[in-house]
Amino acid sequence: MSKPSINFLSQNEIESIHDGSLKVLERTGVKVMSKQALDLLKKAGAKVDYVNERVTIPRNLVEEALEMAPKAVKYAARNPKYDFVLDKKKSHFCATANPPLMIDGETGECRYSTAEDIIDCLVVADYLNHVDMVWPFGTDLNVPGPMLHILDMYTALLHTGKHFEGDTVTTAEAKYQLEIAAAIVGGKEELKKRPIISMVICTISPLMLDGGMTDASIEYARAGVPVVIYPMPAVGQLSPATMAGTMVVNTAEFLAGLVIQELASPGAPVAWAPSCGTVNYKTGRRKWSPESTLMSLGVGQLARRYGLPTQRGGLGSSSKLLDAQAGYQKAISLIPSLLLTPDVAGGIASLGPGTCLEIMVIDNEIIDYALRYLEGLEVNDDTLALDVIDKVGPGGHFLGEKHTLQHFREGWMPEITDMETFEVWQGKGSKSIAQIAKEKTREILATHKVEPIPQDIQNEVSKILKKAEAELL
Amino acid sequence: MVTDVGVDAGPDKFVEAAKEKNADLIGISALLTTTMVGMEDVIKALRGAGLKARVMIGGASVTQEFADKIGADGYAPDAPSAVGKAKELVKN
Repeated sequence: MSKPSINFLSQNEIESIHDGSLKVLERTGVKVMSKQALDLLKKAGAKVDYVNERVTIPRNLVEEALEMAPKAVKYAARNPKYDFVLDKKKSHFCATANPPLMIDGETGECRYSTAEDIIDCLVVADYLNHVDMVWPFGTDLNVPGPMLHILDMYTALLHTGKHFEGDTVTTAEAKYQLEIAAAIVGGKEELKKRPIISMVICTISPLMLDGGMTDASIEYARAGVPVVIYPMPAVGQLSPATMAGTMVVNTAEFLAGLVIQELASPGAPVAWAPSCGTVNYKTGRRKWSPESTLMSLGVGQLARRYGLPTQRGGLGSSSKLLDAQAGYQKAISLIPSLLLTPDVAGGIASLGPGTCLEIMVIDNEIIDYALRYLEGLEVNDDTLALDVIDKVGPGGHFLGEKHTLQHFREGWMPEITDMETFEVWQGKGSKSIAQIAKEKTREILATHKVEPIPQDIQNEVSKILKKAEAELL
Repeated sequence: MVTDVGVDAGPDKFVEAAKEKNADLIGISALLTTTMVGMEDVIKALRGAGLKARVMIGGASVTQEFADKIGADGYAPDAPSAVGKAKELVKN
């Protein structure tokens, strides 16, 4: 099958970005606010200034880290049928919602998420065939701060059998998250073989690594659980006002994080989530744009050169309604970014500033459409069908041909996209896609049952949570 | 004059900087929900220290409703309107 794909930066251009990032690490360096990480770097030969928490990293450390990092990373799930591997062969999809706000796609009302909202989102995510993993959907603001990330993780694991990826900002949180995940999957060694969770570490652009997050990522590295290094520079704000410069900042931060991971635990599984953002200078807020997709693709090419898995691109929209803008922004931001097969693309459930429950079925449909497009087409004797063309001849038709019967089901068919004639559509109630999405969502919530975590394991986790509360609160 | 206390700043850092600089207005920004819940602690610490400075908040995870709930004097949804709000709070 020949599949559409894209490589638009030349080899020289990719090397310039790589080389530029190495120069930044050697000349400008990064600020790493973790003594543990600074010690690892110093021991490996980097030049460390402990007072200002600054370190310059020589290129040999980067090259060694790139060599050591595994080129395929497994993401397992509580339900093993949802396990998958990040090996650059196929794109998977993540519900990367925007906690703590919920958007009602019908009214545009924006409010804080409740515990019920989070569970509803998890049930729908568990059901949808193109959701392969989830981030926290919302935030229960009644949960005390130090328990938040631990409970975000456990709530997700309770209500979906799919892989969970979350935030961790302290060593203590990391330890409890890993302990709970190990209890669910069957022990520490099993968790290493089948990591049902992964952790995001966001760098602070430009060129800084947070102390707590770095320490937490070291715990994860040592447990053999994947860490996703997630730089988020923003053009003209937290990185140069040019795309290539922003890509350099992103790469430099990623490489610094990678070096630390591999020094902490050689062979630590790492993925790169390069988010090169563009900014609406009128408000100061990040915005989805053609440029952010271009940068995602360009960095994707560099990640290919490294051989490393990526999480990038996806379905983004700044709309607050389930409307045409949401549809076109989501489709336009997703499809080009898939042309270089990111291992994971995100954006499912996100809408404007918050999380939207009903948009998930629309996101699922857009992905389904895009994936078919990416499968490409086959050219061979059977598909050229010269004998069938000759048999039918001028003015004939192909509907009765055996060849047609063999192949006609290969065509893409929608799940929720309306393709009816006007009369049939009118007869069904003249529904908008927003209404259809709401109905489909209600149907899923009424009928889909998530396989629960066995009670004995839940009891074990309750004990771990009590221990965590005693220590952290 | 603006003083930046930097990232990951706890309540003590805010109080110390506010006292040292004799601040008229304190701004707190949060993206993550974990830091957002810390904003209330900062406001309590500032009031506890007897500081009269006004406090305004902002960031992707906060809303006017949240600002009212934690006793902030002001909130702004984006950078340009934050400037306007800051000027208004300092004038009064």
